[in-house]
Amino acid sequence: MRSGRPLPLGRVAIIGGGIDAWMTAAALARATGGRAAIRVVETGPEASGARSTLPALRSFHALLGLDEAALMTATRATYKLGSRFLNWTPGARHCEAFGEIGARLEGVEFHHYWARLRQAGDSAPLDVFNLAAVAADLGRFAPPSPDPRSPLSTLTYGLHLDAGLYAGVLRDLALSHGVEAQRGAVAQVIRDGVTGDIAAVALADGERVEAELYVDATGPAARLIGQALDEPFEDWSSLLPGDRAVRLTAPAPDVAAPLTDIEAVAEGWLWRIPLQGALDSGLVYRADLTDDAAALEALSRGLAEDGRSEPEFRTLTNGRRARARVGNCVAIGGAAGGIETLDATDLHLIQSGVTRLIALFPRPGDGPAAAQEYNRLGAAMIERMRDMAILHYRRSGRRDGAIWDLGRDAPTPEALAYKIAQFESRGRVVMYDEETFLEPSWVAAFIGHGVLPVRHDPLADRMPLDRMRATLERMQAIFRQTAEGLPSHEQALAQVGMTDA
Amino acid sequence: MGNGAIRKIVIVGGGTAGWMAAAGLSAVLADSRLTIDLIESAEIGTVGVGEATVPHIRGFNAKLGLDEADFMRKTQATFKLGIEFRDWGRQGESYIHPFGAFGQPIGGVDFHQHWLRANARGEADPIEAYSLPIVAARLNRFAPPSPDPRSLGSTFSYAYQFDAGLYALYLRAYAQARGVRRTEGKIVDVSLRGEDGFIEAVTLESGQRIEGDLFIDCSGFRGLLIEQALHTGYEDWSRWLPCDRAAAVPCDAVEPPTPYTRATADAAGWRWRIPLQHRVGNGYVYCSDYISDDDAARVLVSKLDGKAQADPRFLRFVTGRRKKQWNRNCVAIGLSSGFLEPLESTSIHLIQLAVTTLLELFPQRDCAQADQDEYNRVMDLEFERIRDFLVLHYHATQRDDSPFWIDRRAAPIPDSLAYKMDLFRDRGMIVKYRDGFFLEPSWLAVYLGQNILPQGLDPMTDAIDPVRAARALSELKTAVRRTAESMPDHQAFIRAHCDARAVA
Repeated sequence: MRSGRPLPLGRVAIIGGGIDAWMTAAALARATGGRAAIRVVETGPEASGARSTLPALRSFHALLGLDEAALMTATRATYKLGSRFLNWTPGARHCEAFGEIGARLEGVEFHHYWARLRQAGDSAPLDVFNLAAVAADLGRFAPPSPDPRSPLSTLTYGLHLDAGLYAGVLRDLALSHGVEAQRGAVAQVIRDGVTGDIAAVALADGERVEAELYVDATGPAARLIGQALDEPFEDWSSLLPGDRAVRLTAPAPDVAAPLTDIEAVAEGWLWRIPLQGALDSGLVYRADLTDDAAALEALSRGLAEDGRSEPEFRTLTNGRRARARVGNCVAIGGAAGGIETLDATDLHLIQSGVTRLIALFPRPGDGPAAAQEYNRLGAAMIERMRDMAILHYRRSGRRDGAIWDLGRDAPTPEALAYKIAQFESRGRVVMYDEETFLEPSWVAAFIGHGVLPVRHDPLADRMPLDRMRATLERMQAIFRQTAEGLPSHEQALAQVGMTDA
Repeated sequence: MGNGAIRKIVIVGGGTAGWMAAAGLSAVLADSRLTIDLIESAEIGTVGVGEATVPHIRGFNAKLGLDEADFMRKTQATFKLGIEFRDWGRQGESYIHPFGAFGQPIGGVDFHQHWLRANARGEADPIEAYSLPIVAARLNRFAPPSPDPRSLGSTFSYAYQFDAGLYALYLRAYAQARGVRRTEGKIVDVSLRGEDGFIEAVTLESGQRIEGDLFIDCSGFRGLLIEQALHTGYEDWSRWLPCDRAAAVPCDAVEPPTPYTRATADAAGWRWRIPLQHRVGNGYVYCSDYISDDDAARVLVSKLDGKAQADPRFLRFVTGRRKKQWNRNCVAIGLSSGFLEPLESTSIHLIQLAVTTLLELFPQRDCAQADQDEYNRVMDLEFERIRDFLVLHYHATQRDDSPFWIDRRAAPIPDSLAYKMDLFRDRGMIVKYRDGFFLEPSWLAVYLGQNILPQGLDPMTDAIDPVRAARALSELKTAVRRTAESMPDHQAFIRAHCDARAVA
């Protein structure tokens, strides 16, 4: 460790691996500016597969000083304008794209006009009024325009990343900021007899790791906070039916559209995340309904045999740690909780966890206030994400698999039930504290999954019907035209890094 | 399904709430095929305590398309950069709650953390030296914020101090021009529909019966419709906010108007002072357990700047809120919806929020339960968050000079406030939330202004070089001073732009 330098922020030991550990290490190293001694004990799990991410990750990269072009090249990244949901009701498809849907007209949100149009008998899907959805469907991409008058200014995007390579980039960044790393395995977590805090982590080779703050980045195993500190896990398996996943990567010479595909099948749902030259696919299913062999078969349907990676099976734990921060231990990522990765939330959970940790960093002699606030915010955030995931299942029209019946019939948490009731009643989007998804995402998800407003805002009736029709048709045409004028996803990726060169 | 569009809206009561509702609704609904009636009685006075506003009012006026200079001339308005609180923490102290932030984060750490660190080392000026609106206010300067977001001059907002009676008249002309029908008369009967208890019509003393689909109760404290007719119930918050009376009196101005409102803590409550162009509005909000009406009036009059223009008027109230702000086909707006003392100028803000929320959730004739639920959720949240912020002023005091203040220090506070204060005391952190008017700088101003200092700092402050932070603090202080001094004098600015005497 660095010697001779004061460490007012103390020693941080991050135990675990993968993106959970390295995102935490890189962000803490950057924020503490050398005034903390940060050490990662790589016990695993390693990152594998691909990740679909939200636009917010890019501001995190900016904070870390990561150059996006270099990062994209290093992680075989592609652009993401949103997610496309296929067959959640057989034959149905819709896009949950980032960016705005339509435009506010006369002070009224766009979707009220769409609802009115629909009541008048028109059948244009919501997607045709979403520039990002139109562009993504056409396989086209452009970064947002800085000109607020351009329809392109409403665009925003996330990335598809190779998880292992991404963890590697973060690891290099963390190491360059003075983080120390070692491989190891936890033999024992030693607790202080009086406070119950972690006094040390004993490794298998006999070394004792001591720190003021321990980050549990061991994933769902929760080696510190769960196994050692016995912090209970609030289990949401009765709310979300998927509990197991299988994934594999296959070569993909063609660049797919800039979106994540989420396709429902009888056994559960498939994801397809495009990387440069590869496609990461997976199936989320339910172990007591579908065995691993059947799951692999469902995943393999339609995939070419050549060059496929070995399938990787993993148990999913839907739920959250009752408290993600207990004493001198903070769980980040999978150790703190998780939800079916329907909405690309897993990296966001890590990002928000470490951002919150920086904002509420422990201090020697801390009272309970900071930890309480950390836990309050984290619980609210993951619950709102969970609500979004549950919403997808709620109105599925599939009758071909028991997993769909479970998803449909599961109890609805009160906060979500209220949200659904409000949207269904009058297209009102209720937003609580700590929402990850913005209004347009909720609108797209409600409508896409069949929660349609019975009434629209009566203020949308002030516009004469023919004028409204003409306005919406014009909007649709502009979006179509704009999207058609954009470069292809492949061209956009070829441009990455070239402009800076 | 909704059984059709609203055809008739009836607003009961004029005054600030009634005419703000009429103006706000008619601005948006003018093209709809509905009528808006407003019934007011000259016999029943209006309260008009809310003469000071918060910056949101500008959004409301903009939505109506009001011309700022014209509106200011006709309402005797002055500009407002914040509220000065005198004698709250301890007697003799003063701080300003500004409409603007205290500096920008340095190295990703909130400005006030750096200030706290420098202050603890004795290396900082008082926090107000780092706030442009406060320094400008202390110098009696005013200029509108700069549109350039990179400029220091863009880092504040402003509101108005105006004559609420004149504002109501101004909006009355606006609303009437947009088809709102005004009926003069006193309501003697409210008839409810048998099947669902909705209000069907009100009957005036003249015998005239006015029917409606949606009723807006702006009748003031008594809640003629929401309470007397619908028996909605009231949630009493006087255990937290015990002041229950006010005496109000206007006086002559003896000095140019300050670009801020003043709230001075007194032995049994607090006094407001709101400078307008032509006079100064004054009042004493007090708790009747600690002082008699006569004594309160005597104190109030003895503290006036200039000659009293009338005898003090007395108001009685119970702080709290109506259990449902929207019940059946009746929406309570203004004092009928609840009362929070105007310590932070929130009365008009609550009216505005009610009107805009009603428009967002504008119902059909059946007033769907979902619309009522959502409206009530939004308004309840706002009431509670303002309540907590007001209670903080009473709780965070070191005064021990009178029974009222001694009791306030010991009085219980809502759990939601205790939580916020714990986090601030721990590390100077302010709880953030999505809805609710008062943001971080407001809480910070009151905490620091009333001597609530955190025990520790955000530890990340230690990651930032104190020399770098000190330089940023010092640069900001200089720039604030320079910018404030370059602003015109408040009075001169008013005279140049919106002088009420120029009204033909």
